[in-house]
Amino acid sequence: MIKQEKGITCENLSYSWTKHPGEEDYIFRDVSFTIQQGEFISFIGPSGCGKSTMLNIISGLLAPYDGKVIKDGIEVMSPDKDLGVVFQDYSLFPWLTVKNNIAFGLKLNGKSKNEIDTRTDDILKRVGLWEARKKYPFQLSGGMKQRTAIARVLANNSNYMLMDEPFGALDYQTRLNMQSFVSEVSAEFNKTILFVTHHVEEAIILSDRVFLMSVNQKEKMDELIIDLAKPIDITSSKFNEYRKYIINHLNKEVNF
Amino acid sequence: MIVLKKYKEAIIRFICGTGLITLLVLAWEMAASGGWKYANIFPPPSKFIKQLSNDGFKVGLGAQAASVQTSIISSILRVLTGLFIGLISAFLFGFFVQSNIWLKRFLMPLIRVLAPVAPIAWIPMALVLFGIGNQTAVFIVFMGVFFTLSIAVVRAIEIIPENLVNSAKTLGASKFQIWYKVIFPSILPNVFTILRLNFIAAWMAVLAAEMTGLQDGLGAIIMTGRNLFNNEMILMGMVLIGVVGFLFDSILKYIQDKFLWWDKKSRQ
Ligand SMILES: Nc1ncnc2c1ncn2[C@@H]1O[C@H](COP(=O)(O)OP(=O)(O)O)[C@@H](O)[C@H]1O
Ligand SMILES: [Mg+2]
Repeated sequence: MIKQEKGITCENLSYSWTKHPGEEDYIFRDVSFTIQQGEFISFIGPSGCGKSTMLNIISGLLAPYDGKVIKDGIEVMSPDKDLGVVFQDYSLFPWLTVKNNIAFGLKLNGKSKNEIDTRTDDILKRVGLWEARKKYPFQLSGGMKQRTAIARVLANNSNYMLMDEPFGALDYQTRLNMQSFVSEVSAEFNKTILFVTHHVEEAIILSDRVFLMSVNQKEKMDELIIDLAKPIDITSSKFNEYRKYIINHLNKEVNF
Repeated sequence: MIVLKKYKEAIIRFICGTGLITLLVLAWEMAASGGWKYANIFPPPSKFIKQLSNDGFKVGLGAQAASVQTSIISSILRVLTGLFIGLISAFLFGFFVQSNIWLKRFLMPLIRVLAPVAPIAWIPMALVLFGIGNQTAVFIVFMGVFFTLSIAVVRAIEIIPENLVNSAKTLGASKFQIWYKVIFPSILPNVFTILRLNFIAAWMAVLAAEMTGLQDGLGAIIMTGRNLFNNEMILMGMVLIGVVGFLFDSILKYIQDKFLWWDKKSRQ
């Protein structure tokens, strides 16, 4: 198989929390897929189906039971700053200001103070956090916290941004707000985004492709290509078809 | 008015705190002048406070006797040294133990057996090992705080949210950078709270050590008083111990509120 140069390829990924898994123990098994550079991919599925596990394997935080993740032609063996992660719980450093949270990654690499300042200030302005730069995380609203977490990855200049239910804890209005923010960010900064959600409309609005994960069917992920003209009209029949398709998939999964 | 509002709670606390103490002292004075039969054992402040201005007030006997100021400073330095060495060692020990599950399995039970042993129980051995002197006192304080602080450090590391460390990893932090840029600041407020509680234990421990025969220190005031059958001296010593301990704890609390606030705030 010829490996593409840019993008992420997952080959025969399997995962299980037990060391010697039986059939039943796999979270997913032998799953393969490819993500092109610049794509926006959503993973959707009922909770417990392994979305976070998948993302943690791709980011290098978790080693797969079997198979491999290849990024830009090189196998991912450990966390890599080119694969930035945004967590649902923000995971900001509470003792650092917004600005210093954003500069965290830059400061790890011994860059000059000047360089760090210029880059951080630029990011702060571009994501609308300039006014809040001196605040601490506890002084921020949920949306602002998540903005900071995203800016922290942007400052690091990661090509890939992995987001695990980033808006799960936000209220409806803020969520909409953040959706357009992420949309803008992905276009403006030209990021490849892997986005985990269980919010159907959100997945359709944001993505180029949606991967449908499932609890019962472990050996493959269904894939839905989203082909909608921007700006997206959520009342269009195409949008509705996508929605029905995903909801059908999710409904098959409901078991108590 | 704004300033007043900001300090309102502090002012109320100060008034309540000093108010009650003043009332108790007044009652004590009145009882003593009214012919209370234990007034000899519990001489009131108006009597024992004079001890301080008395030039002859020396801690200990003979040529080695020390002044009150020297005693206070000696006690504080001993506690500080012991606390400092204990804290640094506990951090190093905690980081060491957390680096490998087997270290933890072997070492933690030992630490947990040693932690409940009262620091004063180490005094007899310490006296043999180090003789009567500063080393003994510092050693006792160290023994009093090290084990508890070690347990606190290990526990604090265990409860760090996993994703905080994960986000540092994905931002490109090395193992060492994770230790000093994430784990250390994460646990600092937690460990400092335990340190503050432990300071009181350490303070009591150093006084116990001083009572065993060190020449100076606040604990030695009590022993000198006892040897001289001087109850005023004993009470003076007790008051000094309480007041100095209180001031010290206030400084620790100030440091905590001013510099180590993020634990409390981020939980809100
Ligand atoms: N640390 C863990 N140890 C054991 N099992 C886990 C652990 N984390 C998650 N799981 C299990 O793995 C499965 C997938 O979890 P996860 O990837 O978090 O799902 P999702 O993110 O889709 O909700 C679930 O059944 C969950 O119970
Ligand atoms: Mg999840």
